[in-house]
Amino acid sequence: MTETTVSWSVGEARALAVKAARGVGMPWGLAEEAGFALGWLTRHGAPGIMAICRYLSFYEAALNNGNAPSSVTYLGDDGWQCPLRLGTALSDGAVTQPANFSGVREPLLLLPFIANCADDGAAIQLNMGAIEILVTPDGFTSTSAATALLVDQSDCRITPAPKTTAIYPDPTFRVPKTACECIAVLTRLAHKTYAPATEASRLAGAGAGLSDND
Amino acid sequence: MDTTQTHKDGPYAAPLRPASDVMRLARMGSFHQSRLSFMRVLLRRLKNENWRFDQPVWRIDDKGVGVATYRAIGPERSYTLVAFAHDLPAELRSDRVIAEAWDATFTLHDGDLTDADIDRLHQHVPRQEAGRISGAELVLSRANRSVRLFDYVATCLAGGTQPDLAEIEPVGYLMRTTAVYGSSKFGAADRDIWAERPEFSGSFQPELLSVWLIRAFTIDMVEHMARVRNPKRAVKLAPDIRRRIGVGNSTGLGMAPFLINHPALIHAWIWAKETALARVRGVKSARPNERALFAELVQRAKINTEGWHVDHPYQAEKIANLRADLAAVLNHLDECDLMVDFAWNALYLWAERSLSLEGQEQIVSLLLELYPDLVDELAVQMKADEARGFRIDGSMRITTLTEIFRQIYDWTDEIDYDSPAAQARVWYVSEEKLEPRLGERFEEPIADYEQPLSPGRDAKRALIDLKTFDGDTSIAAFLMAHPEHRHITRRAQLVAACIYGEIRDNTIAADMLPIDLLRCKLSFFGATKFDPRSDRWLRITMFQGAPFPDELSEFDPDQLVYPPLPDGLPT
Repeated sequence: MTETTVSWSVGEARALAVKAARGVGMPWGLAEEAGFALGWLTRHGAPGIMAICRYLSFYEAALNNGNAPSSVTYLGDDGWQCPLRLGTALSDGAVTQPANFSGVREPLLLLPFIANCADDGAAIQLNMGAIEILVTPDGFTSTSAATALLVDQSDCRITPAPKTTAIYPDPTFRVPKTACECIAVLTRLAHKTYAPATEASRLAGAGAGLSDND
Repeated sequence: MDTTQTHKDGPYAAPLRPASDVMRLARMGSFHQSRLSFMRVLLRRLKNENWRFDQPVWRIDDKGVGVATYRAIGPERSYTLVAFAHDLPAELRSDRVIAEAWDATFTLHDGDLTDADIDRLHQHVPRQEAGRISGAELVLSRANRSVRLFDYVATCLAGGTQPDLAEIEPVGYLMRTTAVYGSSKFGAADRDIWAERPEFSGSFQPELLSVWLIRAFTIDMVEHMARVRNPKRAVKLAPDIRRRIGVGNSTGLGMAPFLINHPALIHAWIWAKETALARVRGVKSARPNERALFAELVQRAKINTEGWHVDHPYQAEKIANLRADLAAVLNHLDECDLMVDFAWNALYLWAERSLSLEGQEQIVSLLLELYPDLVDELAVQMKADEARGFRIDGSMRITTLTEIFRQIYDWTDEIDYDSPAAQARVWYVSEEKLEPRLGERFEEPIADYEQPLSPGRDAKRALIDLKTFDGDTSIAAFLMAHPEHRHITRRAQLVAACIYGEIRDNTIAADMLPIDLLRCKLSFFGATKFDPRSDRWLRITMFQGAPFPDELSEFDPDQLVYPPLPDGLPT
């Protein structure tokens, strides 16, 4: 019972990721993709919340260090690349395969977007350094998903691949209690989207009175 | 969806009302509950499937503190409402969602409960948002007493007498909930875990099952307190009086963004209701019993308005209009000929010409009452797989997206979003309790915290940038250059296929009334007696008139929604 009392639903973790991504300055539409990526990875048995947490922390630090948003958010830059920008470009079809990318942060976050591109029957292979992951619309197959999480930045190659008999990690339906530190980080970042309250806004904004003893 | 066929017998006969008419805030703010409302869908199913109900635990002490459980046993699964009753000092009683203590707190558990479950839930449920429920729970909720009515009813029962309906009707409940959280909130099970269960087909079924069981708990509590006061003389509530007690709800801005944030779902709701209306308008000949039932229902709806009292001038005027409208309908029924072909369509068109929006929408709901066979089957379609519309179609060309924007958001042509009145409001989330609020853009420093809840303005902004691209360019390329338009682009692609998914009004205008958004959603829940307390929060009544678990087998819940005629229950 302890397990279930402190775990998180995927839905609330996803909603938190959207707010956290917005909190570090991403446009709403891109922040929604961060939530999508977290949900997809979690359901497919990968540590999505850790990957999102680590990327948004990095992103926040990069902004604070004067690494201007233009170099953070544009493709083909000399520096590191945003997996969410890159992922959505792949999903939208702005990038054709095969494709090579240098310096992709948290490349695990590419998987949900590559899965979007893997139409029926086909598979797509992602190589990040020595790690090879085969992605289908139903999930991904890799013996090294846990290792993939450890890759914080890598050159990536994305290529069409023949469909094979995939072996997927077991799906997960909760975000485990071991993610509590990630939840704490995302909660802190999400907090940046909340407007400080004033007494005036308390009354005017919500519009309620003070007593309900009637 | 077929909008082209003309009147003839059978389904899909009349045209659907256009979204440009239906999806205006003034009309949405006039919707009434109907056969397709989720409370009614729930009770029909529970009755049809012969669900059984029991109360495995009742451990409430003489102060009214303790725990009780209510179990609903269906053909395949059981669910258990756990109710914690508290002794709440008056100074802590607040309807506001940001309160920290309540008269009673609840959770709906997936299955039967053990004592260990109750102990676990006791650590969390009374704390509501500050606690955690598990994947074995579906709903988290709380309620406060209507102090005056609760004490009045307890006093009557303790003295061995029944309370006066004239005292009950204007309030309509002993307790009102101040939040009913479902679907993944605060640790509750994700919706997709249980969405395919037939008993939860449609929308908000676990939440409303909880509320219906909470209603039974409120009665048990008041009867318990009466027994404590006077064990020898205390009586139970008479069934006919008890049935007029529903559950109240206070709801505010927290609910308003839902309608904007779930376009596919809102489309499914409104499409079902509009399709039902079109089917009824397409009925060629009204049978005598249907004509008689309609006249009776108009009378009963009129009685309903007489027990509907509000202080807020906006709603008070609407109710006054509705009373006049229903009187006009009764007169019209005396004069018009319902024996002609397509009499209901003629009646509806007369209502459009002659009645206020409040009256028109009441007529819509009453017309649906007449034809369960045409209407009820649509309920199962009132849901959406929101994951399906999430992925953007990047291959779409700029010209196509531009055309979608122009079609869906044509109403923005008349709005100058540079004028202060057109963008006076900001939807934001407050740091204090993480609840949505509505602020004044030009009076408070809140614009940086704005939530994406103004699709009309955002569409207009996107159109400006779309014009700088060649029409044959892909959306993928457009979004590479303009990630700030990603949200509204996703939305536009979604609502292009969901005609009722978008509100055709300015949701940040100075004169926008959030209670219109709330009313629309609550009408689909099945709420009655909308009682705005300001332009942004209101109270409602749920399940008033409905059967209780111990009498569901005896009654047709759909027959009990409108108050009975004075000479007793309708047959």
